[in-house]
Amino acid sequence: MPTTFDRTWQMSWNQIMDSTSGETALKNAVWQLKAMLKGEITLNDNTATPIGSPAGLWTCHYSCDGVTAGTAGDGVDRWTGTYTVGKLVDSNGGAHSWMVLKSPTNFGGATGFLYMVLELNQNNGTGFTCTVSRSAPTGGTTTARPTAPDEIGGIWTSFCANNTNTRFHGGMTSLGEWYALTSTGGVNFCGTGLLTALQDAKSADGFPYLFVSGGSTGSTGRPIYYGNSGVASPANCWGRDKNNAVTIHPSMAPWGPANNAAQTIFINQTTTDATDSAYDDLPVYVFVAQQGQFSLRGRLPDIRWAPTGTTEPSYEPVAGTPQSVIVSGVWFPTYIVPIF
Amino acid sequence: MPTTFEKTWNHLWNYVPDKTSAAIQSQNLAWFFKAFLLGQLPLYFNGAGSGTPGAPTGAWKCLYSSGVQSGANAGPGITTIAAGSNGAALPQATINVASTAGFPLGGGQFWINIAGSMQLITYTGTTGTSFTGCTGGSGTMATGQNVFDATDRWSANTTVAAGSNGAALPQATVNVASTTNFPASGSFQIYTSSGLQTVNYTGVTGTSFTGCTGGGGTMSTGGLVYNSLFSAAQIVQNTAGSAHNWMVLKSPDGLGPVYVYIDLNSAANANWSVAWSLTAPTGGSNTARPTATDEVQQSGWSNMSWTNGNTTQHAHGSLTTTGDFTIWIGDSGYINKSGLIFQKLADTKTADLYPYFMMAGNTPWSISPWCNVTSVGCRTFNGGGTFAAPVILVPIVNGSANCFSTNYMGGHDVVDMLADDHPLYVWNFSGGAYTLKGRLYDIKAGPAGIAQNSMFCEPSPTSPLSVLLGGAVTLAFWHPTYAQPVY
Repeated sequence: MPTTFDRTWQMSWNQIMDSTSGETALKNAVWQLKAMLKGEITLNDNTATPIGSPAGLWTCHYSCDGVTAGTAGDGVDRWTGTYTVGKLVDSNGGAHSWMVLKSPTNFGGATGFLYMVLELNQNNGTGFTCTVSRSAPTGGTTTARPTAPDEIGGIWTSFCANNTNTRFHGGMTSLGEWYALTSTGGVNFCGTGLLTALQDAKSADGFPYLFVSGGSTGSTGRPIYYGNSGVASPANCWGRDKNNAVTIHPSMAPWGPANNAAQTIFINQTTTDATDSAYDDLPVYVFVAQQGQFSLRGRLPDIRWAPTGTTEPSYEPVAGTPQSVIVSGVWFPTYIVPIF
Repeated sequence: MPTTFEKTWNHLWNYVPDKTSAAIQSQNLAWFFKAFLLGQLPLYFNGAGSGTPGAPTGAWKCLYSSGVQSGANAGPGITTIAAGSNGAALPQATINVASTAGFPLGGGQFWINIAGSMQLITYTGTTGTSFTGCTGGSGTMATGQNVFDATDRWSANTTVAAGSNGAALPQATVNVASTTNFPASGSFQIYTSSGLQTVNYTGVTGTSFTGCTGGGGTMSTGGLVYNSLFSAAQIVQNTAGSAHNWMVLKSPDGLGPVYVYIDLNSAANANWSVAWSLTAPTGGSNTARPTATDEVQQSGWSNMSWTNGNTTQHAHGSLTTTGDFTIWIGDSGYINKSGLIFQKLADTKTADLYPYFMMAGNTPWSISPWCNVTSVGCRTFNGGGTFAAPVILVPIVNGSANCFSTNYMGGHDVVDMLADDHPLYVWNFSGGAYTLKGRLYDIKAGPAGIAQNSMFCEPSPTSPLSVLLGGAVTLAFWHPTYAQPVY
């Protein structure tokens, strides 16, 4: 497991969502994401101590509650700082809620802002739309979200599972980077996503960021980050080329020996390392394999590969305050034993 | 390519061995190995180009050695602390030992192994059972502790003869037991009452240096006189059981310390053995190298097969300021026709008592860092066993093993138009002892598809920071450098 971190993490785990219906659970989870980014919910450090003044907070650029659509830069959070289901209107085609969030100035330690749009436009209890851009989104009505010419992302198809038993688990660095997980049915993790700056990026890289909006697959309900077939679905991994001119789909390259037998052993490893009786971890590199865009863009801070054969959610250290938890073969920073 | 490095590297690349014959060439390369590590050759900082070499740091020390001796010293000198020094705290002017036989009698240096901590002592004289005029060291001596003669017998060495006994430097003539293998002019090192001195000379007889200038202190019969130059006659390769050269090198303390053994134990040219251990060695004679209980022998280097006498052959050595090192022998169109990496690994676990990696081999194919490297030597975390098949982890994209290397490295990264690099992890997956040991410092996976004989250096061939070794195979690796390699 990772024992040291590149970033300072502020986290909220095991949050029970609105169980009125699968749809309200989704609305609650999307609200939790924005509330975490804005510091409207209690965030804990990696010693499980509540943080009085979280750092790296995002701000509301403008928003819509399904009744009133704001204007760019008005700064009004029409979803409000308290979860109010009525402010979260989810409609596919009709009036609905959206919000444009603006990152801290030093997002990921670099100069410049990122913008993110959250849009409740699926009305199916599982998905919503989430986009990220460097330029500020413009426009927006009660029936259509604002857009930006350089936005990436789209429909986050399986953020939740239309299940009343849903929990939200999120983390944000003091530089504004974040991950968001949901678990469902008291069984396992479901949705997963992250937005982070890349470590070890090249100085000429004009978009050293990765956005992932992954969801559940198959009967296991686990997000696909890893497996014998690599990351998973590059379609859910979003980035831009070095000039921020073209949308690309980078891969989060897992590591393994270039030997199939050994690779299988690592991936399917179910026993701990002989040295310290702990599970291992390796850095996650972001790799663009598209024709004409070949590039090793950098690595994720702190979020690292683990053997997928481990039982989810294995966490370490096993005694005391957990520091990391395995979600489908990936270590995420945490501060508490996860509850599905 | 790596543009920044975690370690500070000193290098000496493109060393041209004496190619008078295949045998001499082999002897010179063996000498290069030890001389480079001992800081007896000028080293250049990474990126320093062909400028003035920097002061070498991270150099190793000769713990003891066997080689050609001239004069009265008949090493290798090995003895133990005697009861007369039991319980005495260093430094002590007189150190009692079982015997001083085999040590330079009139002054030199030796090591005492005090509970695993090697203490270097300089002395100016001896009796049959004691060293006198001792300085240096710390810790408490105990009866039976091992004492090693620090003399490097792989270069010319002799001792002060009676004709100079009691004479104070500088002296125009310095009498010695023999000047065999010393050049006709130059300089030598000598131990006097003032410690180690450097003397320049303009001529030699069979038993004296003439035209001497420099130095200070009073000479004593038996005082060690030596240089650090290559002399083929000082290097003897022969099978174990016959007299031959070996040397035990001690790393800087921060690296462990670790001990590396170079053993020229084959009559064939260019056949060496190399081993390493964490515990101090014991034993050793002119016909057999010392051993250690936890040593790991590198059989892969027991049959180095470079093309002896190849006129294109060059040697390349790189040393970090903490003592990690690599040696490469370029030959027959390959920068690394044969070579060796020894590193203390990065990102290791605190419980790992053996966080070291050695890999040696005789072709670029056997030492290229992809999976199942065979010519390697690692030890399990508690030292209980060895394993010789660590796996180097490489990135996998979309399920295609080595996709990074095989599919995309015909060109460069579009962001900076440089070829990429990845860290190299050492992983033991054999025998149920699953362990991710750690990763190499600075030596990183690079692309295949770029043959090493294409002289692939970045950021530019004329002022490189990294060079790609082991190309034309599944996976090549980047290595820090300061000069375009010649091979």
